[in-house]
Amino acid sequence: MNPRRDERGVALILSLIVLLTVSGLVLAFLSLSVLEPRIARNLADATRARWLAEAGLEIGYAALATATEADDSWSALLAGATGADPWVALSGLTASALPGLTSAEGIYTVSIRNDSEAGDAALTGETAVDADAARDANGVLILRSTGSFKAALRTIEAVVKRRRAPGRPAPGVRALPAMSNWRER
Amino acid sequence: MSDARGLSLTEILVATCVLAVGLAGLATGLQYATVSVDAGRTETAAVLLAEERLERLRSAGLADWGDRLLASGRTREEYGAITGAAGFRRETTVSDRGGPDCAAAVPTTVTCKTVRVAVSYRPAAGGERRVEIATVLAPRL
Repeated sequence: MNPRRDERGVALILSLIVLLTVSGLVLAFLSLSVLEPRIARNLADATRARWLAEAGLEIGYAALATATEADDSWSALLAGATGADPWVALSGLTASALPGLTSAEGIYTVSIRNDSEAGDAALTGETAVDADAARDANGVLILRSTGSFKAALRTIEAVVKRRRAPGRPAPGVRALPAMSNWRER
Repeated sequence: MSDARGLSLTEILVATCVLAVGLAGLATGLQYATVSVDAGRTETAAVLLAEERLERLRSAGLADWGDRLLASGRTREEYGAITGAAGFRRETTVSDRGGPDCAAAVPTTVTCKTVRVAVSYRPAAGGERRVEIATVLAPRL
């Protein structure tokens, strides 16, 4: 018997092996590729949420800057804050939509707290921090804004300080707030 | 046939047919996957282009609140106008807002500006898609 008779059918087997290898590669590519649009969508939603949080920070800053108080402190805004729950929502800025947009296009929430927590000196860069969560003695607050769009949620915190411009007389002139030390949580 | 060197014609024909049908199916899958990857890539690029514009406006506003870039109105960058991203067009809408919570439209004193950036592109699948990001800017006092 001729041993070469055994080669019958080898073309079919070879083509099947090639087909199997290539389909394995294509299948792997396919399963990875269906993730791509989802990754991009998540990035778009998260980016949107982050800019909503940024918007909340700006609006919160504007609200703090225009808050008029005789003693140049933000104590009135901190009413109700306790050591256990120092965060106080700024009025009208809870689950709000951006001006001119609907809530379906994302919402943001802004709250503030006094620099009365342990370790706040490192965050604010001040040597003296406040003792009472509800009484702002040094003109330093922590502003937190959370933006949410669909499933994405982004929170940013910043330190707001009220400082008198150099050379300005103390009472009667409103001190100018500055915002610093952003951190994303 | 005693001297069976090489492969028979029928064998080759069957193998070629199987390979052709299989590869045709795989090519369809490959095309589908490529379109998906491309869709993800362009959407990510659109998001980054929108962010680029927002960052530019914010930095302009921090340097000078009265900057021309922040003037109320709509700016259009058509297809081909954005350097390095010819396949995208970008529309920036700035509107003035007033009041302590920036809610008032057409204000006498501008306390905030809302900025909306929409980036549109034509994906390989056809049509036009858009990515939109909105934010608010306030002046530093």
